[in-house]
Amino acid sequence: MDVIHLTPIEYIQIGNTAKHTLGIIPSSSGRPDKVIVGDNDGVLTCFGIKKQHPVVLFKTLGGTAITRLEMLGDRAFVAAGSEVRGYSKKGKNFFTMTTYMTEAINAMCLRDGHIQVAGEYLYTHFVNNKDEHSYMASDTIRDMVAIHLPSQHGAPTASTKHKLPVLACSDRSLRVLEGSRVVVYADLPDVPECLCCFDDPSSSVKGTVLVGAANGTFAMIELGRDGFEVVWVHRGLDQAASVTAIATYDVMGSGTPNVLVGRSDGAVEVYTFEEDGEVDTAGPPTLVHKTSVGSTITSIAGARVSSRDHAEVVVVTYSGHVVGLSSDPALASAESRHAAHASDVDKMNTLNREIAALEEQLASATDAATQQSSSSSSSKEALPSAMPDIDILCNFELRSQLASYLLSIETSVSIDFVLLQSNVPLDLLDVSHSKAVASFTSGGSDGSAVLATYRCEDGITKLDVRLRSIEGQHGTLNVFVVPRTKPKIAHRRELPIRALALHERSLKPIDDANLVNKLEINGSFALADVHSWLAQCLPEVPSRLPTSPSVSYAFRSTFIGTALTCTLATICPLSPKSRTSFSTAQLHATITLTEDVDPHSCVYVLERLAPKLEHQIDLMRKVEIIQTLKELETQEGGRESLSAEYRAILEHAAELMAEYESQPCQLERLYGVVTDLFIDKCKALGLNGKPHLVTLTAILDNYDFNSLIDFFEHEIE
Amino acid sequence: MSAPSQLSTAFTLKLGFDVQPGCVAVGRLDGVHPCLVCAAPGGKVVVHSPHHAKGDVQHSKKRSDISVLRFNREVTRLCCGSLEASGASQQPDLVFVGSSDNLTAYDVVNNCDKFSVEAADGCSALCIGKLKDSDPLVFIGGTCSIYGYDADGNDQFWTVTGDDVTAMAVGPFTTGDAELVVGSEDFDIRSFNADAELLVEISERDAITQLIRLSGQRFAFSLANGTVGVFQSSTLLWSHKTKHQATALAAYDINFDGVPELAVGWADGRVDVFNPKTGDIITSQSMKAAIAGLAVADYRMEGKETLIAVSIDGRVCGFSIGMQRDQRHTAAPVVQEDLSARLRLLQQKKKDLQYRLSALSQQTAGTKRKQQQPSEQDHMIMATHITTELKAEDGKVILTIATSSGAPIRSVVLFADGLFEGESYVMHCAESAKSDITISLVPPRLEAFVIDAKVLVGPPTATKLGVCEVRVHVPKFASFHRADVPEPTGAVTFPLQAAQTDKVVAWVNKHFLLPSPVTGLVPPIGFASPSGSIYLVQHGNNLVIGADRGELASILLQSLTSEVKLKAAESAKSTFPSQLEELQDTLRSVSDLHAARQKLSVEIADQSNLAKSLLLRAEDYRMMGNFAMMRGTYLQLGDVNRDLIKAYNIRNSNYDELVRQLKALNQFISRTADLYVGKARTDLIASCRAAIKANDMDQLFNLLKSGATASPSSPSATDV
Repeated sequence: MDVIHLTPIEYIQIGNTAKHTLGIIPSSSGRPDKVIVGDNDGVLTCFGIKKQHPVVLFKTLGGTAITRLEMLGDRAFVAAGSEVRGYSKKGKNFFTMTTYMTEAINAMCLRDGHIQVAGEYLYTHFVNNKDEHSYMASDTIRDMVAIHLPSQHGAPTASTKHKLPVLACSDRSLRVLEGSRVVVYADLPDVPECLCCFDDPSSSVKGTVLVGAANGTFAMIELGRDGFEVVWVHRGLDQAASVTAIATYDVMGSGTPNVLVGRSDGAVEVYTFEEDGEVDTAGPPTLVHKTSVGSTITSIAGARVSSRDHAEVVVVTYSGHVVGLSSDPALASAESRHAAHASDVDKMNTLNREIAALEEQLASATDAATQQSSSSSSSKEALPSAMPDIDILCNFELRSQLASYLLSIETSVSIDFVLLQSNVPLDLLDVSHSKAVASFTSGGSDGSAVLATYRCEDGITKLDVRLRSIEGQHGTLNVFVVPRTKPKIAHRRELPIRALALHERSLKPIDDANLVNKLEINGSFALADVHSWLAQCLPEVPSRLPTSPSVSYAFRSTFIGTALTCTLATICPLSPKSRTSFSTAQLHATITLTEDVDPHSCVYVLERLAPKLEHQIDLMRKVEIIQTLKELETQEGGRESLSAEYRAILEHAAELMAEYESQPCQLERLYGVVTDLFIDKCKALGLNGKPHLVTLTAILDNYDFNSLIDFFEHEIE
Repeated sequence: MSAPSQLSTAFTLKLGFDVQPGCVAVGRLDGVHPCLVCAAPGGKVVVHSPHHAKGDVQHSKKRSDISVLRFNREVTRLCCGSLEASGASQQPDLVFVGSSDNLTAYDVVNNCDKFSVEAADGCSALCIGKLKDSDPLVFIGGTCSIYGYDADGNDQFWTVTGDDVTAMAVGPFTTGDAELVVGSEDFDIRSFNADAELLVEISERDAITQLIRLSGQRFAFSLANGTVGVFQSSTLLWSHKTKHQATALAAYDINFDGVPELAVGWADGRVDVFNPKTGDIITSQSMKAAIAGLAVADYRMEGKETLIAVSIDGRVCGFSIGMQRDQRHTAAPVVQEDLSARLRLLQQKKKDLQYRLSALSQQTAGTKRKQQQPSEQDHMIMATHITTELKAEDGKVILTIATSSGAPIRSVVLFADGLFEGESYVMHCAESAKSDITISLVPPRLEAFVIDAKVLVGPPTATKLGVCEVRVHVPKFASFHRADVPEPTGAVTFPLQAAQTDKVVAWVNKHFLLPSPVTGLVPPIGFASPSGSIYLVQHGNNLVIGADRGELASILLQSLTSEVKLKAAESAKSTFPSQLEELQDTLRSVSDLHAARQKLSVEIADQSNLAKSLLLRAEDYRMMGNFAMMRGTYLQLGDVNRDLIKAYNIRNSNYDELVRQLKALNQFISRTADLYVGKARTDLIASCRAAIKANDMDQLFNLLKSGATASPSSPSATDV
């Protein structure tokens, strides 16, 4: 339940937006703040509220898409392509600098005379328009923020006077740079998506940042010269969408900043550190407000836009809505709600009129176009020419909590339908909030294992699909997005389904003692080759080759919890299944494979699986009898006559059902893992395991751990 | 535009029982105060009566408001209503409880059964209504049959349909008089009048799950594939498909205009109110679990109707319109939410239009200035047109799609409801770049389909592909191909006037896939498919529809008569000798199964008596301390118990078989009746009913064998 009430106010509609393209121009002389936003059409729009209506103060001409907006005082700096431009609060373009970066700028930090920009991999530091420092990250840079880094002793030294840039990289790390050098390297538990500084008024010197992660968590990290500390990690629901924007602002007016979180499913959340009047920033904050605005949040900020007296949250969505969530209690009152309702009705009428006008315009334009083409139909040039482009946001990320991937598609124009095609089998799971009608074609032709269509209603621009691959099978997923444009164009996105797709990078290096099996591939091939093979098998392998001669990556299976360490040129799977999924045919060099398979590794994995299996079997059994127990309860008029065990089941019936429904087919999946394990074991011994599967299924149906172990040890001898 | 009406929560309560889907009703069981009646698993009926006889509008959540009736049979359907002919206003409502083999009319206030009848065909749909010139009846739909009972439990109405009845509603549909509108598993909505005459037959895209009357001749329906829609006297006003199934429908006047809107409860717990004319969502609410049922009543007796939603986990939520005492908390956020969602939709619409306009202007500007030279390939793809061709072959329909420019086809997506497993079929070419694609379709039923084909054109490596859209109409008998077939064994013959020959020819051309259109009915036209062959010929003034199987002929005849108004078809003559043997088998096994069932009942009664006496004896031994004997007796009891379970299982499978055979019989009657049109059809069904009632299987057989002779149609019916 919401602790505080925020009233949504729709401000303006602009073009589609990129991440972090919202700025707040702080007010002078007690007037409300103004909002400045840049969009993909390259238009910078500044507006303020006058008499409760948004008034556009200035709007620049369009051009290259604006990919970042940073404020320096009351001046706004935008990055568009490789260019950085500065605008005064009146809209005057007083500064332009071409960086000659080969990558588009997607993050930027500013201070007087200094501009730090980051592209996909490259970081460059400009001092008075000259590039002084640069750094090449080994994995993509997701976001950047500048902080004061405290020294060991807390006293500010010369170097800590200035803010230092912090890069959030896809390899689950934060890198603090000083000049061209990494001074602090912080490992993160999750892949970072966005960053913001945390300014705690209670302590003056602290390099604290908030990191929003792609898997829906967010964390507070304390950075210091001598290292870093993960202060807390906020883990919400399992299915929480990616945190795409994060900021701090004192919305509740309590003196401590609130954490503002925007997510990819359009959720806007406000968190507080206060609990029973005590402020505790050392622990994760609690949720006080949640709203959804329907489209991916690209930027979030706190401000006082509607009125000086009441704080509000301003968000920009991917689809270009600028929405304010005001804490003004007057807006929540019945009269103003009535007024708001009336104004909404007004807006709707205006929109309806505009739509009618546009439809007319479109019809006449189409007529003109057809006439033109028919008059010159003989010449080929008159035919419709280039295929128009359209903004499509396509995210495909592993959700470790659910051991499945979330494919989310968002477009600027309403979607007609989306076609998914894959050459490997995938489980397509339903996402409850998605409204698209799914339909699957079985028995696909031409090597297609998955053919599915998702048909959307008019006006829907967002589609989420949860899917899961079978580990060991690798292939490609083709996503064809067909928006409601004319002429209709299908936009194809190709997504790799990796052989070990359900593994995620693990932070902690794995204890060597746990390494049960080892597979060595030796041969005369380059480091780059083996690195690219690895990238084909496992997710989160940086696309750039590391500069150091040997690199070690650790992975953990999100589903069964086994681990894998890959040292370049040497791949040592801890998982007993030595899945060398990339085909050796690709290797043009001679290689030698050295396998060191521990004979007891199967038992080891089964031991790891056993608790999960037992839990699922137990859950299944409980869920099966809930209905019967309920009937008994009503028949007997109470649950006194039941045994304690059954009473407990009845008491927790709702939770049990919820758990069971949140993970459908979980038991079948685990059975599948056990079966695959057995088949693989047989394969390793050069035997055909298929005939024994009947026995295995029987054992699983009447599950007993010892007989399962027994079966694995003695069935095939 | 007026402000849209909003729903707000008026009250909530928990029944404490799970509720069976489709088993929710509201009735004035004492004639005055409304009560909510729901069925819970385990043969229980839960009654929530918030008002007490004193009449105080008390609204407590105490359990004392809830009473439980035990029926000891799984309740399949439930409804409330009165069957009294007189229009007295304070007539107490009865609760009608349908189970798999029984219908009970129960008077809750007096705690007695009003009547109880056996329902051999089960009860999968239940409704109360008054057809023309008759008393109100309770209609019970089961496997392929419909019974109508009056207040005394006498059956006054009987007819058969093509498949299991899933939903029924009463009201004027095609004509001004009240009709019984029936939805069934075979995707059909049929309407019958008081004489059980079939008035109209509408094919939908999936099994009908719900059917209600909204107002006037407007009926709302829902399908198993998640569609809801509204018919206005057999014309579809709109239909709307979503990914969730609609689990409940109700007519509810949300804007006080006197015309009820359509309230829909969904499997995901949402309750939406639709504009019945346009299908726009007016307002939306949601509950935590799937909706088991919706009801509309003045539940708080405050002079306005409340929409009551009951979820399957036994939560009840009453929604009402407008002013509430606790308006501060509930009403307003709904208003905000609802409008902002609509605003967003409109904004998106505007954006779409703007995008299309800018794309168009770019295009025209581009062609003028020729500044942006598209690649040769883009050009080819954008200029591509699609040609389609349909061909019947061996029971399949072969669809060939080709591009005009020879551009490669990457994928073909066919959208058609009811034709495929889901709503779409995808044909994908991974590597091969073909410019024509052949897809063989197998229509699951003899039905016309419209396929929306979307063809993705472009080379395999392209990231942008052209999408060509084309609509393909598959005629009803598309799976039959033109062939010379021998004259089939069965045939329907009826007189045809010369002027109508052209109409029949037009019908043939419309509903069959032909290499070239036919011009006349002589020489005979033959069609073949693995499911049978068709043979059409005109013998002088008679049209002969020949088919191997009666059902095929009946489908043909019904299709023909619905299009060409052949009054003369009432005097059709038909013969299908090959199927009479099957009928004989069915009839024999039905009577065998009946006999076996009786025998088993007697046996079970004996066994249970034995079990009772054994139990007593064992207890006696225990009292006397004779433990050896007690042990022996208990062992014996165990044996008897085992036998009882065995007998029960046999009885069960016997029952299942009986239901199956009865369904076959009902279907046979329905199919045979479909060989006749109008009055002849109705008369045949009535005669069959009489024969079944009299348990005269020979008579039934004779009727079905020579339906035409038994039906009292006169030759004078041939005049137009």
